[in-house]
Amino acid sequence: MRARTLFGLSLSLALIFSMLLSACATPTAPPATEAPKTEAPATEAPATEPAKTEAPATEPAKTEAAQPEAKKYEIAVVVKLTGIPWFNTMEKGVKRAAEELGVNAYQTGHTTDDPAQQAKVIEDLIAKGVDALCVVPNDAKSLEPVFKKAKDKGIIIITHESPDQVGNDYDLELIDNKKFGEHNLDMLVKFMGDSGEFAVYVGSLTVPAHNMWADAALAYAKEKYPNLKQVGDRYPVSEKVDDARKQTLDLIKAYPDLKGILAFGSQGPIGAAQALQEKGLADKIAVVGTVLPSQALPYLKDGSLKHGTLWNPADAGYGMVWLAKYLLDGNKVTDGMDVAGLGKATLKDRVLVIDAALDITKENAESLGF
Amino acid sequence: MRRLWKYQETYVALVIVLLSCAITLLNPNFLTLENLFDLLKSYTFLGILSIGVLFVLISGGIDISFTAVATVAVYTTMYVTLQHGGNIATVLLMSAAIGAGLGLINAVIIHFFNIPSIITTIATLNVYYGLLTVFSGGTWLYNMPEWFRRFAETNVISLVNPDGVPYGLSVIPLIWFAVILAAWVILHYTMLGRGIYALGGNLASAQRTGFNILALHLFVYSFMGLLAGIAGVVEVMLAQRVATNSMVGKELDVIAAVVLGGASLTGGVGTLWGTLLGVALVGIIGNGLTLMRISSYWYNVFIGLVIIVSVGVSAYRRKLQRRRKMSVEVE
Amino acid sequence: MAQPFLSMKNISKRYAGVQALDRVDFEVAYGEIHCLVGENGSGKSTLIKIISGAVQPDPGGIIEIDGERFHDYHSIDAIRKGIEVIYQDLSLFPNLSVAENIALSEILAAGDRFVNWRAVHEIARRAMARIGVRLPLDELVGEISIADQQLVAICRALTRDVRLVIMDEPTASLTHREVEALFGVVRDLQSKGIATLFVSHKLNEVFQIAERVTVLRDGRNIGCFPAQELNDRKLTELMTGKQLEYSHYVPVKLPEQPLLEVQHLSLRGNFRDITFQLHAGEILGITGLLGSGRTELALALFGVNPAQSGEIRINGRPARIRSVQDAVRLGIGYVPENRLTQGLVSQQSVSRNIVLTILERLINRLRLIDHRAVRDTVKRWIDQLSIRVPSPEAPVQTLSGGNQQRVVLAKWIAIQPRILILDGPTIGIDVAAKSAIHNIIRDLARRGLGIMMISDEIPEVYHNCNRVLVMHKGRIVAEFDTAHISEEDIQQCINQLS
Repeated sequence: MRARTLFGLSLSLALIFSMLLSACATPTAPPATEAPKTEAPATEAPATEPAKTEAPATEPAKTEAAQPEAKKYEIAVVVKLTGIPWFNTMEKGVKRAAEELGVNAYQTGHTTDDPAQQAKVIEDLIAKGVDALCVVPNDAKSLEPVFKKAKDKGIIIITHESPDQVGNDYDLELIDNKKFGEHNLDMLVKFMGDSGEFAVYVGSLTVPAHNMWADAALAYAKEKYPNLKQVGDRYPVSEKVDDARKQTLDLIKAYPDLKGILAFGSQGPIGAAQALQEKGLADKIAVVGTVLPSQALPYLKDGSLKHGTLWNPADAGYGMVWLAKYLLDGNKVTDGMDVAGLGKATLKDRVLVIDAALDITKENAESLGF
Repeated sequence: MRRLWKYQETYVALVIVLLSCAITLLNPNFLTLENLFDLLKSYTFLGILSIGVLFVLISGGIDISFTAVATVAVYTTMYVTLQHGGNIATVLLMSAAIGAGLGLINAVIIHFFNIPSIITTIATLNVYYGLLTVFSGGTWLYNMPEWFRRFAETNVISLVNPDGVPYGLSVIPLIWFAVILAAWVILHYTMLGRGIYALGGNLASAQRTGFNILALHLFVYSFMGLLAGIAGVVEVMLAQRVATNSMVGKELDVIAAVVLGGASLTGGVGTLWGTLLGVALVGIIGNGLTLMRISSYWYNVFIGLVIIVSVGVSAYRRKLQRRRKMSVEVE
Repeated sequence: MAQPFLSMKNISKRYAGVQALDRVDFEVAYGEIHCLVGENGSGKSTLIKIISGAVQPDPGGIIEIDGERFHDYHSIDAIRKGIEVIYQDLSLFPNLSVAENIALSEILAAGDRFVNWRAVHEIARRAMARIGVRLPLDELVGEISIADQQLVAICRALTRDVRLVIMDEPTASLTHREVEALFGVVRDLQSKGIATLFVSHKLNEVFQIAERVTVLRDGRNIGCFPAQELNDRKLTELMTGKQLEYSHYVPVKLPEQPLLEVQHLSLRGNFRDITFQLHAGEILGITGLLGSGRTELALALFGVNPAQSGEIRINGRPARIRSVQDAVRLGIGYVPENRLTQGLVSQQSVSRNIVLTILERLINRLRLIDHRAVRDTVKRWIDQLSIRVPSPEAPVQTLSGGNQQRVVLAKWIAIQPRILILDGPTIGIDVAAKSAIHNIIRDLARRGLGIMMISDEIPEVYHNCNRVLVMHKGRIVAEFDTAHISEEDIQQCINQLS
């Protein structure tokens, strides 16, 4: 009796705990748009303090022109979670914007991707009195109340990767989801040919962005390349190199005629390439997908990874701060305007889309610098 | 023969055999040396960690922190190695030593402050992992040294499959085999090993019998740490990058494999043989589902069912046995 | 008597203000079977700890073993002189094989780092040969019977050159037959010149084998008596220092209508064709050997393992008992044998344990727990059963055995049952606490409850019950009216069965 109770107790403890952990072990993948978070709150850890700079905004500086030295706009960028390569790169763009645009811009966030913690960080910033907030939301819905609070105080709100956001001023997207998915498929076809079997990897079956791209790619394939055949369903392995590698090894045996792998999620292409490299099958199977250039470089070089795609998170960081200052200066956003030198933007329902998708090849991977 | 049916190991083995037959029928590629070699390489990481967890569970404790230990150990090791150079031996030794050290800290806290191991290791997991996040800033390490990459690609047996593609037994599972051998000798042929069983079976008796409980605790948790350090290196060999967050979160997978193999969360019970079967079952399920071309949406359902079947049957038999013991001889 | 094997003189031990032992003299002869008795807190365990060297006596005491006098006496000396203690919990490893359990301490003491499995079996075989028992060496200890486990513990003690085996409460969980077997082993040890010291507070069994009995009370040696000179009653008086009044329970006039009628009740593999009646105000004893089906009968009446056939009537009306809920609704309470595992949530407070069964009566209109009602109820039972607790919020596990048993009683009396089934109500508690519990039980019966008391202690059922049923192999084989028979009649009846 007692032994069994203990067993149950410890097992459930272990279970609960691992659930807690899964929250902090999640993605390095290109972050999703408005991921509905189902995980339990993540383990607490002290938030890394943003570099606190002076110049508290004493009054809402809505229409005031920038006065150099005397008053800089304070623009806070809140990311999903700190301490992963993707957002480390984004921070570089934020810092560049701070220098070049003469604003007090900095990046902050919580160490876990818990929506509640993110809301708390934002609340603290509102209390501190920032002029603008640039947010990469973990969960669009759960931020609506704090956004409303910010709005009431006259704070400008820019979001990224959250096209359906309510309560913000504008959302900035650096890729067009549909085009991005289609482009990836085109690249796959370029390397595997327009017929044969291919597999699709995503981070998990609940990451909206990855699945949006996969939807677009698969619909496009059906229409344009009828001889392509997807094997199995989407494999949820793209968040860990290890999982993607194992999955690829298994797929090679399950589908001996496999010719291509399309992987959304930054670790998926790496794991697939690693497996092909080990098996010496780089010539037989083409891997295309979203990658971080510096991690992908060796695989691009030896040919086990054919082509990478992504957008530059530094550009996103820069773009958001630029847009915030643009609005603080009292300018109006219009369709077809140029954003931060990143390209022309289309405006639709407060969503600004710039097609700034990057192609990552062995030639440019090193020079991209992230 | 009848005694065999008392052990969960027997049922897990049976499930493995049945599952293997089913998979082979649907896809003969399953029962090939190539697939076996690939599986061994892929599951070396889980396999090494599972042995450490087995030791901790037998001793009556539990360790949650080992993934953080593995991450800290291998991150520090590769960081130093990328700056100062090294070779495969220094990498393995250094990572193992750091892991053992962190494990030792766990043991000291558990033993001297008498805090339950689950609480202690939950706390140290956060401390270890948190410190790593602070000091690394989340930066990943790419561009592993050439010699490191070459070692990971070394095969000790090289063969060619019918399609003309070369394959082989990687050097990586050899690390696992060495750990298995060491663990087997320790558990069965040393008083240290028997002491770990005794400790998990009955702490008070172990004390009275004259076992050095402190020494046993120190050994068990630092051995777990040492294996975590080695497993961390194995993970990096397979992925060729050091990520700060790729291992933390896999604790339950490892513990589940060990428990599946018959080890008890209440201590004292568990065999090396069973743990290997548990890891094998986990590996075969993952591999087999793809080979059987089952939709990925069904994976979790399937894994859960297999666990229930393999653990449930033996648990049910034990229950029946207890009930039989209770009954009375009636005239 | 010639020079004794163990001789202790003027032994005192004081723990933080408590005089555990006060100038005790004690001796055990070579090859003697000696019994040390005393109530909880009498100093028994302190004396044992001193003999085993785990605790050192206060200065002034003299310890002499096998003619050697010790000034500073420690565990290592005890082991060297061949003194082995078998603790009540046996200190075995349930997860290890019989052979390993026997041999482990020997190998450890030898300082070996590696295990030679052939040597392990050899050591175990040799130890078994010394007392002529056969145990399955490869079986796990957790899977053999308690009696066999006891033999394993004895074998382990015999791996060394042992001269004195100390057994702490060895018979507590053994059946009658197993006790006989154990005594056979002890006599065998005696024939080899090995002395045995029993430590016990269970009275009747010890007389069968002990040659001398030393009685401790409040840390003093009351005396050492030849076993033949003692009987149950005298020993109890020596242990408690009180003249215990043994009176028979005589119920007041019983009502015509039986409270509980059981007819031809059967459950395959448990009991068969059970027929009896219980009146309000009665205490009905059910005795028999362990495994006679008496506990199984109780479990059936309480709905845990419902009977398959037969009839149960309560107050003349047919009753269906298919589950514990049914039984509780019909006003049946059950206090299980193993109070720790079945009766109490031992980490929780006394208060919570008492109200566990009656929570639904203590809720207010909002369907929330009415804390004032809980407090009042708990206070009432604590007072009525005089449970000694520092506070109602103290965890049950911090109480003494007797008080824990009272909490279980309180818990079941709180539902105000009409029928109360008590299984081994005084197992593991000392003599004084026992008689207090008996008084409570009698009092309950006088207030109109029908009580069934299951016990294998004949004196207990003889004195406290007005009727006694004897069960054997699942059937009722005899019924006694205690007013007209003596204790020995029941004993004889049982002895004939085994």
